[in-house]
Amino acid sequence: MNNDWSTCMVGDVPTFSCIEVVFGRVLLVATGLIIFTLFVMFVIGSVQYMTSGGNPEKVKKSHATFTWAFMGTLLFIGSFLLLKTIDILFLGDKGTLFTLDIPYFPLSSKPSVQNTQSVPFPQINTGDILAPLPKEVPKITHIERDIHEDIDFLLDNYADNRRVYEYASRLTGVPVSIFAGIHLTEGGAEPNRSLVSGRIIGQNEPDVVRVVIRCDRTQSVIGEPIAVSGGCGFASLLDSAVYAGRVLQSKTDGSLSTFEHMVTALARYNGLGNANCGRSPYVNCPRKYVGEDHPYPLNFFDERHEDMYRIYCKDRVKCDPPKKFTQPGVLTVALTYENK
Amino acid sequence: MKISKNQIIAIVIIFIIGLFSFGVMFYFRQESGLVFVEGGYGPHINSPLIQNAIKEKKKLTFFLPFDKQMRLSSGEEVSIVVPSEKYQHNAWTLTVQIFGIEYERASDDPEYETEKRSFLEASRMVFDWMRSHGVDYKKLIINWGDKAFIQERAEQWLNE
Repeated sequence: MNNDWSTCMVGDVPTFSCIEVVFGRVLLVATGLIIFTLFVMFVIGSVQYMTSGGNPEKVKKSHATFTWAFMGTLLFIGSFLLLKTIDILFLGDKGTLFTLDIPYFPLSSKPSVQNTQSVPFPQINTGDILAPLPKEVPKITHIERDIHEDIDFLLDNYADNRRVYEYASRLTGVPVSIFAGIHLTEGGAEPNRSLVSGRIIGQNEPDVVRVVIRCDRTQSVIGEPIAVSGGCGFASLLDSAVYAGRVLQSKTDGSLSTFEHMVTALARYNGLGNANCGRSPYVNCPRKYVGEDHPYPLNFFDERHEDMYRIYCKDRVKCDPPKKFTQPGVLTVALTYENK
Repeated sequence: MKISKNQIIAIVIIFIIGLFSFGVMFYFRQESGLVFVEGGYGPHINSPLIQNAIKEKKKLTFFLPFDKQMRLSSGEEVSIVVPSEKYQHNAWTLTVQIFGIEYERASDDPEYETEKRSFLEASRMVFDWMRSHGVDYKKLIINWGDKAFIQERAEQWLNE
C-alpha cells in the first residue's frame, strides 16, 4: 500500500499523487477497523450462545450474529478476490486498478533496430584525435597458442567494424583497440552482436539494469538503450559500443591512462568474481594489482597469464571446478589489433 | 420500514469491506519504487520519486568522484568508486560501485554471509559519506553496478 509521502512530494510541496497516499492511509485504518469489527461480532455471538441457556430466542439471536459475521467475512474476502480477478483477467495483473497514474511518457512508436553498417552516423563534434593506448604498454611476450591468426581472421573479416569503434572512441575516449578487444571477446566481433554481452543487437540485454536506465526512447539516442521485446536493448552496434565504453570508464572514473588502470577497469567491467587468485589453480599469485589475476583483460598476454581460469561459467553459475579460459584477453586482442 | 440492528451492522460492514477491498488492491500494487518500468517504458522523469532523486544527487556533484579503498572488519579489502558526473548514467541515478564483493555467491555458499556483511559494512560507509554532505540517501536511486545480479543482490541485502 502506498503510504509513503516521499513518493508524492517534490521537496515540501505535495502533488496530485498525494491523494493516493491519503486514501491509502484511510484504507489502512479501515482495514484494521473491519478486522476488529468482525472479531468483536464473533466474540459477541459466542458470548450470546454460551449465555443463552438453551433459550430458543437467545440461541436464534446468537445464530443471527454469527450469520452476519460470517457473511461479512465472506464479503470481505469475496470482494478482494473479485477485484483481483478483474485485475488479472483484464488488466494484466499489474495491480494498478486504483492507481492514480499520470502518463508522463506515452510511447507512441519505438525506434527500430538498425543495420549498423548502413546507418550514417550523426554529425557531431567528436574531435579528431582518437584516444590512444597508454604509452607504457608491456609487450605480448609469450603466446604458445597461435592466437594471432584467429584474431587477424576475425578482425579482417569484420573490418567495417573499425568505423564503429573509431566513432565510439571519439565519443567516449576509450581506445579503438579496446573496443575491438571487447567486441571480439563478447560477440566474436560479429557486427550484429553487442559489445555489452555478445547478444544479437535488438535483443533484450538483461544487464542493462532497467530500474535505473530509461529505455522508452521514441528516437534512438547514441549509446542509450531502447525498448525491445522483454526489456531494454540496443538499436545498433554503435549504441552498444558507446554504452560499453561509458560503463568501462565508470569503473575507474575515466582513468585509462596507464596499462594498470586499463587492466583494473576491464577486470571490474567483467566482474571481479572471475579473478583467479584464491579461487582457481592459477599459480602466479598474489596478484600485482587489481585485475592482474583476471583472464578477461590478460589471458594469453604473456607467460604469467598463460594458464588462467574461468570461475563463473555464467552470471551466478560457478564452474565446478574452474575451467580453462580459452579466449584471448581483451588487452591481448587490443595490442594485436594495434600492432596490425 | 423498521431497520434492525443487524441490518445496520451489515451495512456498516459492507461499507468497510468496500474500503478494505480498495486497500488490498493498493497493497498488491507492484511497488518496486519505480513501478513504471514495464514493457519497455522508462521512469517518469517528472514523478516526485525521480525529481527528489535528482535533487539529492545534485548535492553530491561537487564531491565526486569518491574513490576509496578500505579494509573491512572481515579482513576483505574493497574499493568504492562513485564516478564523477561525467561517468554517471543519467541525472536521476547515482552509480555507486563497491568492488571486492562477490555478489554472485549462492545463498548456500559458506562465504555468503561474509559477503553480505562486507557489502553492508561498505554501503554503511557510503551512506555516512552521503549524510555528511546533507544528502537523504533514502531518496536517491542508486545503481550498484552494471550487472543485473549486482543490483538485485545489493537491493536484497539492503532490504533484508
